[in-house]
Amino acid sequence: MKVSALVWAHMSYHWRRTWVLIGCLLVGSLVPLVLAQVMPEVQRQLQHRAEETPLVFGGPGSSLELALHALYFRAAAGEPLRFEHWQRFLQAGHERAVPLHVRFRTNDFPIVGTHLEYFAWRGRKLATGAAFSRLGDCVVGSEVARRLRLDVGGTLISSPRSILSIGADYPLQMQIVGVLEPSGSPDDAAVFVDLKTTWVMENLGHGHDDVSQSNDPNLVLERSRQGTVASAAVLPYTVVTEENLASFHFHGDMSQFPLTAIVLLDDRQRQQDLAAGFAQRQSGVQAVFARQSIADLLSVLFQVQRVVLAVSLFVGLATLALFGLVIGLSLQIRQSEMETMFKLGASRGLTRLLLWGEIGVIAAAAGLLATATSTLVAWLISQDVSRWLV
Amino acid sequence: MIRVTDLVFRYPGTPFRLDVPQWEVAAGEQVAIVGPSGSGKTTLLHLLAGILTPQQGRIELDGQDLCPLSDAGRRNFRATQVGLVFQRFELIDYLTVAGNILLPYSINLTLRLDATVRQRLVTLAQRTGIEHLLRRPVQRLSQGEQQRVAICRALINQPRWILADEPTGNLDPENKRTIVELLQQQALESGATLIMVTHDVSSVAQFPRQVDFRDWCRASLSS
Repeated sequence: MKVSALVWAHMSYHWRRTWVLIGCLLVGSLVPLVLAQVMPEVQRQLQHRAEETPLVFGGPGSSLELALHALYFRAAAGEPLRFEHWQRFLQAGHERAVPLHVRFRTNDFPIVGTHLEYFAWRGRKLATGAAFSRLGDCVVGSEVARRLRLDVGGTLISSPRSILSIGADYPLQMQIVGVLEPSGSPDDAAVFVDLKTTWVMENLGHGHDDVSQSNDPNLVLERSRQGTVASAAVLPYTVVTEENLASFHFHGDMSQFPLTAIVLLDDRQRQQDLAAGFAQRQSGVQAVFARQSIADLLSVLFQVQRVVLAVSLFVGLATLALFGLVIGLSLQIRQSEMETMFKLGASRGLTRLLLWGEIGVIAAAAGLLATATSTLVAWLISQDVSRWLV
Repeated sequence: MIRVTDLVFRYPGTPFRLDVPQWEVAAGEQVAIVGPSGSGKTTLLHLLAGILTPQQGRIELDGQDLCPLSDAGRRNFRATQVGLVFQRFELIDYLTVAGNILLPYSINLTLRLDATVRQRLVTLAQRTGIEHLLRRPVQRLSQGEQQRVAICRALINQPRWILADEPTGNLDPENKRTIVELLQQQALESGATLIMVTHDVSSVAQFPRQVDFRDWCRASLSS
């Protein structure tokens, strides 16, 4: 008790030095501690998502990019598939193959164009509302609803893919019809719509005023037996309503419309092998086993972790050397103080205890702070691995 | 009383040698030992306090020989029986005035800090005129105030022997006289024996017994 009071008095008096030393130890130990806590959680989450999504299909390109796109809705980098690819999967009996079209975002959350089967095969349930049933409807993940404070009845507006292409993409206002239950997966931070809704965002389909009866030459480019060709002056609707729903239509062959990926949500190994074999026979389609891609990614991450730990080791050694130097210098400065205490009847052991007590308190404080900080950082990262990592 | 007999002390590895054939100080006596710097006065005080141990001879304080005592025994003796005042005050800069005065109680397990000691702290501070400074850091005090704190620290354990090593060395003449008077008064009030060593002849005029270190003690640099 007496010694602790002296230790505390010395540390309080030299509080700047004390905090510098605590800071040194904290910095030296924080990175390894964070990595030690984060990496197992990252590994667990990545592997879990990969197991939920065993097989993904996409166009030619990086298999890892494709896996991250299909699992975490990361921006697509490879060639797109066509809708007919998915139709062929269906015809081949792979009914658990679900199409994805993820090219747009809203408030920084990905808009996932898919079919209702996505929820069924993934086992996602609605917390409130209903699934999308109409063009322009959307179902939001629990995290989207929480962060944007939205609920059924609210609206979201899609962002153009690029500020340089504002002429190409019209923002579409989506009506929220349902909110998903939290699943601890990237689905929590996504907005789900019907495939056709994303095709409308891509300007493959649209709705606008009926120009067939219009006599305005600015709105009609050509009128023929086949129909009426509207000019660019006719603006498409940016929101789907009961009144204008019927006016929405698509131009071109829908089987050629783009998909960014197809995911096979089937945990039966035989079905996976059959689907992979089927994909290999399709032109312009690659099949990626998500577990393998995630294993490759984890392997890279673990290599990075080893490098970071090696660097941290050197930083830690340098920190310890600095710590030792400061303590050594402090000991020299305090030599006369120790001598005075000895003359006043203190044992040499007590004077050593004063020094070691201070080292212990500093180390304990740094350890506690490092543990608390690393736990907080690890918790923040583990809340949304995809945002930090992917 | 203090009785030193046939004392021989050498610092290991140095040619310094201190010889004290015979010396006595009566209980309650106030003695000033005067000698030049480097003559061995501080060494003698450290021997009397049990900080150093002689190679030969006896140091008896009230009949108890310090020499055979263990290190812990001498520390215990120092903590409970001796009050030390140093030339450079040797206060602990990170403690307050009160913390410095009570330092012996913080670093010795044999001393117990209780309400009586705290009351003694206040009394000592009042007597030495520093009661208003008790919560202040010692670094903010003047040299005279710092030496008063050092004197209070030496007296807080009610020592039977007060050993003062050049306590006026860093002070101006006015403060010198005040500090010596204070030491003498406190020793008188507590009935302690006061031994003060100094090289400054002017500061020992108030002592009833003044001795020249060289008269009875041989400190030499033997070859």
